[in-house]
Amino acid sequence: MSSANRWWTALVVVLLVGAVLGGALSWRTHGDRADAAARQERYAAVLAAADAEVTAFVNLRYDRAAESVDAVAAGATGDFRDHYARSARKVIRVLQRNRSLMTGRVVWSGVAEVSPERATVIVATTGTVSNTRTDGAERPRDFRFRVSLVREGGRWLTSDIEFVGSGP
Amino acid sequence: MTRRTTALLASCSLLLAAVVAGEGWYLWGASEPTPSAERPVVVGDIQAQSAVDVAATDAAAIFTTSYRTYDEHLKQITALMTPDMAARYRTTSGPIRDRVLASRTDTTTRVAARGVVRATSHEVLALLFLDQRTTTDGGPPSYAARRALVTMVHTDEGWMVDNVQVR
Repeated sequence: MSSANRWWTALVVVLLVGAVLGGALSWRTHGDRADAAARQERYAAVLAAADAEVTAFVNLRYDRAAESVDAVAAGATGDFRDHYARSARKVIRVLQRNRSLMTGRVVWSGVAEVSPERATVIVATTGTVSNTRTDGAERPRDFRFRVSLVREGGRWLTSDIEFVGSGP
Repeated sequence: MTRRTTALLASCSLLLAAVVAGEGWYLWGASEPTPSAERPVVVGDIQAQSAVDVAATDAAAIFTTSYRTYDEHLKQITALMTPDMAARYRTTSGPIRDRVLASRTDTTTRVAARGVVRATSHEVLALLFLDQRTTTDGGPPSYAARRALVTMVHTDEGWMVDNVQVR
C-alpha cells in the first residue's frame, strides 16, 4: 500500500467512526426531539380543549337552553359530566324562567400543569350577562376558571371547572 | 491498482464527510422552533415553569404597595423589570403615587393561580390570577380578583418583567 493510500485509509476510518458516532447521537436526538414535540403539542391541545369548554360554559341562552347545556356536556367527562347532565333540566328551567343570556369569550388561558394523561388550565374570560333581574340590560361579567382535564380516547375532556374567586 | 484504490478511498472519504456534515447540521444547526398555535411552548416544562414562578413572585411584589413605603417600593420593583419596562412604569407611577399617598392606600396581592401561555428560551408569557386586598384611610378592606398577563424576558440577570397587562 502506498503512503498516500495509508493516509486515505486513516481518513476513511476516522470519518467512519465520526459518522457512526454522529448517527447514534442523531438517532437519540431525533427521539428526544420527537418527545419534546409531542410534549409541546400537548400544551396546545389542552389549551384548545379548555378554551372550547369554557367558551361553551360562558355562552348560555335561554332561547337555546338545551343546545347550550349540550355544548358543555359534549366536552365533559366523569363526575363533572354526570353532575352536569343530572342538573341540566334544572339549569334549563332557571335559564328560561330568568330569560338569561350569557355571552363571553376567552381572553387568556395558560397551562398550570400538564402530563400525558392529566392537565390543569387556568382561563380568563370576559363577557356580559342579561336576565330579568337586569331588566334585559347587559352587564359585564369577567370570570376566572381553573379547568381540570383528562385524556380519554385520544381527546382532552373536562373533569372539573372551578371558579377562582377572591375574598377575605 | 493503486490509483483505483486511491480513487475509491477518496470517494469514500467524500461520502463520509458529507454524512458527518449532515449529522452535524442536524445536531447543532437547527434553531429553536418558533412558538405557534400548535406549539405555544417550545421549551422544557421546568424552564417554562421557573419563568412563570418568577413572574408570580415579581407580580405579587409589583402589585403590593403601601403609602408608607411607596418610593422605596418603586425602587425595589423597577429592579425586577427590563430597562424599557422600568422607564414606562416610572412614567406612569407619578399620578398613582399622588393618589396612593392622598388616600393612604395599602394593597396586598397574592397569586391565586398561575399558568404558562407561551414560552421560548428567551421570552415567556405567564397568566396570573391575582387576589388583591386594599384598604384606604384605614377603612374596611375591599377585594378584587384580577387577571394579569406578564411578559418575562430572559436577560444576563435572569428573568425580568418586560410587560404587564391587567384585566
